[in-house]
Amino acid sequence: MENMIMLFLATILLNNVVFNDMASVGQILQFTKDRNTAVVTAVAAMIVMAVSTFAAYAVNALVLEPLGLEVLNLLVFILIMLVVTRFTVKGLREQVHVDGFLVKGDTPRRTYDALESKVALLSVNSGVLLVLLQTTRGNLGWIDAGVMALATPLALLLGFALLGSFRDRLAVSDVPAPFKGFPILLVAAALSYYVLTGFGGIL
Amino acid sequence: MNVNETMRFGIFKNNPMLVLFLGLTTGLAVTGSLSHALGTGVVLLVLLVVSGLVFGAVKPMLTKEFQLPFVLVLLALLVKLSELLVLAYFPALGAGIGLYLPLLLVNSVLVFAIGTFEEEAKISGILGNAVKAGLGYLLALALVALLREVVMSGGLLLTSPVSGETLAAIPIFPTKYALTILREPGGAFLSVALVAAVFQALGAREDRVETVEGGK
Repeated sequence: MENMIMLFLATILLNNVVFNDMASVGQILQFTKDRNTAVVTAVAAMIVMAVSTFAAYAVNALVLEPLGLEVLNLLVFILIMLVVTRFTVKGLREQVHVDGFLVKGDTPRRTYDALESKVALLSVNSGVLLVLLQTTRGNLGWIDAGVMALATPLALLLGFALLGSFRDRLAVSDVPAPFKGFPILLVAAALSYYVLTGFGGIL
Repeated sequence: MNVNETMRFGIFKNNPMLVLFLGLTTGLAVTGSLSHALGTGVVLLVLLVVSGLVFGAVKPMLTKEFQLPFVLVLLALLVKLSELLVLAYFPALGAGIGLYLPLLLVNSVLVFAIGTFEEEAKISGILGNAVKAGLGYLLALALVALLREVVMSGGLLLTSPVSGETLAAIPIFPTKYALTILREPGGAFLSVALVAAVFQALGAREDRVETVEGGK
């Protein structure tokens, strides 16, 4: 039990998928341009990551390993990611169309439809594939893999939240011209990494 | 990463990593050593050419909604193949890159540069764009890795991708002045930001020169 809490917290704060493993950075930078895009893609990415980690771990442990077919892992994982993303896009569309879930504005329906092509890009999110590879490569048990599947989406949310709010602040700050845009956000990401390493002392 | 926009890649202008900010995961993770960065860049360039050729040949037969799934399945096969080949013939390189080698599958340079989301259907157009993107990415990886390795270790250490033996060691300044902080992920973010800022500054100057000349 104690180990599970440690693994949970370490996955979010220390081995953060965005700041420590450097995955998904590109997508987060591109998707935090406005509030609606950021919120919708962050939630969709969390769902895709959690569901496909469970699914990929199960398929790997129950089908690929017993049959000695580990060489097909990339093919299976990318198909899982594609299918899960497709269903997430559809499910979110229904929620948004019924009660304006997540999307703010006068026309949530139209806003979401404009976003949909971006959400579909989550099937090529490097953070998701990295977690699938990490959980299936080591000798993680079912419980540890479950903890990872719940904690990593929260780590990704931390990345979205931190970089998104930096972006809000930086929009009204005086940034040196060459650093305008993405470079200054990467500097902010570097500082976030050093801040998070501070948790190394208590975990 | 606007999917509806046509994307043209270039080596300096529209550099995929330093101007368009695609493929950052690989770019941040493998640039700790120049040898690994060059190896990854070459693997990605080969992947771009092969997948561009196959996708270019098949694209006219695919409807729009089947393009992304087709590309991902094709890339899954090619990336797995390249992973196995690298591990077999260049074990030192494979061990150095580790998990980020199969992760090339979701590298956005690879997915975008072969024209997955574009109307372009001519194989020559797809291949030209893919080669330009690959060379630009290789250059970006090399520049960032050069900066990172020199500053963090005080010199360059070129290793053989086959055996991991040292091919050449070029000391530049005493190691006691080296900034080992760049070895960590935070240093990767900082180095990419610095090189991208230099690119942005040079690009802005070029634009200014062009407008001045255009005004004459």
